[in-house]
Amino acid sequence: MTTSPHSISARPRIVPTVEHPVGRRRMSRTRIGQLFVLPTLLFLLAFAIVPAVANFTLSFFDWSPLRPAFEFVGIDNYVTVLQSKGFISALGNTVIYAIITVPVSIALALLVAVGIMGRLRGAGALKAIYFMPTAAMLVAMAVVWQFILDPRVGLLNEFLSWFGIPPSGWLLNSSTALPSIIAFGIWRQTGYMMILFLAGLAAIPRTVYEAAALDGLHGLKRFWHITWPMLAPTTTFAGIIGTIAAVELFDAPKIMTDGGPAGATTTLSMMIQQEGFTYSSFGTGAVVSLVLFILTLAITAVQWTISRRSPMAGPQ
Amino acid sequence: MSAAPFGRNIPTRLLGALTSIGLWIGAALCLLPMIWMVVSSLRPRSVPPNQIFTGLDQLTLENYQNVFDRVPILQLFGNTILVCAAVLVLQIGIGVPAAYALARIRFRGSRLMFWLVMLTLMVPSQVTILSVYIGFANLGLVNTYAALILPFGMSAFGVFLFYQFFRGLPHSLLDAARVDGLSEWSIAWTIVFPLARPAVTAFAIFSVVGRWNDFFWPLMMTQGFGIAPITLGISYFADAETGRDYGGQMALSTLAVLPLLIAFAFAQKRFVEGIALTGLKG
Repeated sequence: MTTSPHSISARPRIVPTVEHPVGRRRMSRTRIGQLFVLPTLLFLLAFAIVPAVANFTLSFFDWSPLRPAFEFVGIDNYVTVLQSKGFISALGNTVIYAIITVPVSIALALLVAVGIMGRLRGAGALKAIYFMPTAAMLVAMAVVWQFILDPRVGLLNEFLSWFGIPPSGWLLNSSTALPSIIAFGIWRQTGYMMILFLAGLAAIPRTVYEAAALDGLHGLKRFWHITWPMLAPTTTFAGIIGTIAAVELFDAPKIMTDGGPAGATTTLSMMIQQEGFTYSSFGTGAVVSLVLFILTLAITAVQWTISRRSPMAGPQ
Repeated sequence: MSAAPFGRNIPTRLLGALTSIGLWIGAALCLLPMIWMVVSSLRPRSVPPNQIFTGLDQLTLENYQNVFDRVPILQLFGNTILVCAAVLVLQIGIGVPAAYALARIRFRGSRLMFWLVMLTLMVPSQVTILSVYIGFANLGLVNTYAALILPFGMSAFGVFLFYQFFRGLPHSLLDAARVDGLSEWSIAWTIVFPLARPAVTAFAIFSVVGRWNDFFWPLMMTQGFGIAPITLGISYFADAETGRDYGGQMALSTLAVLPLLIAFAFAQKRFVEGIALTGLKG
């Protein structure tokens, strides 16, 4: 936590030497390697590993910004959180959001990427347009969507009225609030995933397709037997990145509904913020954080198992 | 795919046409909210927001004037830019050497280090924020730039991207340099790091987009407008308006969205190429 990057300078300086025996050379490589990763290690410990472990410890204590002292409370925080209706609903909302948003945006992104790859005209413009929702500031776009979904003056209700469909308070009804936020999430994320798939498609060697053509594979068959399996690492990567983002969902519901109506769009991330900063109860917040962490790890593990091979091979 | 444009026979041509229509409809859906944002920001305040075609002939900047009067926009932008830039410099300066070491220098502990980075990739800031907040509170650093910058100084994703890039460099390049008697240190600084530019460019865009958009972290680490980024400004303004001043909100949103969209318009090709180069292909 308190480790400062300045401690780098405490390490002995490596003096690059030009001529030395093989044994020493290997040692010097090790030292340089370690020196190069040292700042990363310090930051990683200070802002990821140690806080993640500390979060676990924190879940057995009471701490509040108003009264900053640690008080051991055993498993009280767990009992409080796991028994609360708010937590069950936040967990449910988060899982539903992830389960729908990730596969749908991956499917759409793949469709768009394959469509764009097969084109000569307009490909550049299409790529740019599909990426714009991702490039545009999320909070700003959430405000825009809130405006579009507004029951009185919203663009969506105005469109629907042309077809005789009565106006609806999309973000105000508990049955449509979460779906609205899911729609926003898909709108926003598809372009990002499209970029990943475009890179994945471009990486498939042309010879593979030529061989497929010799074997008489075309169209859907070719996609199913060649493209899809060869994209597996990209799909896994997009899935992991997308799921982690989905599980962290905060900005859109915070802006568009503030978790309402009646908690219908409260997510785990929002609950962490509410417990910690609205109710000044860091201990219960830490329990929710822990659940979020376990969820992230579990989904990642499942995705790795499904894809059978880790997209990240360790150093040789 | 790219090798086979549509059109040998009727069905594939039809498929091609349908693909085109589908792609452009999707594109329209992507653009529509943004077009509506800009249009709404430029119409007079007296026009009811849902009358789509009213007031298009009397565009005005009064919403922008109003926002500038009520929100410290330049200060908010300054805060966002400062944090983005500082984070990016740290992430590249720290991440590039680490990734190179992990990818190309075999050393004791490199495997453990690699897995620590991969593990960090899976630790969301939501999991660390409460502990980090307590740490910063103990150091008296809450509501300072340090609290917005330092926690993001190391990007596991960046290290992973750079790692992938360095793995792709030909062995012959480094071997030749070693045979020439260059030390690992000089190889890194004079040959490898300059080569990393495409990966760094690709990552820079990811990083800046991430910080530019961040709302969760600053919302909890800052109070008031002082060091708040533009995302918080939008949220504060929307709250203060309780959803009434649509024109003003759209004007502020347009201002917030514009810089990154313009940057993207110029850097798009580089960006897409960069990702292809860094090879998210496993």
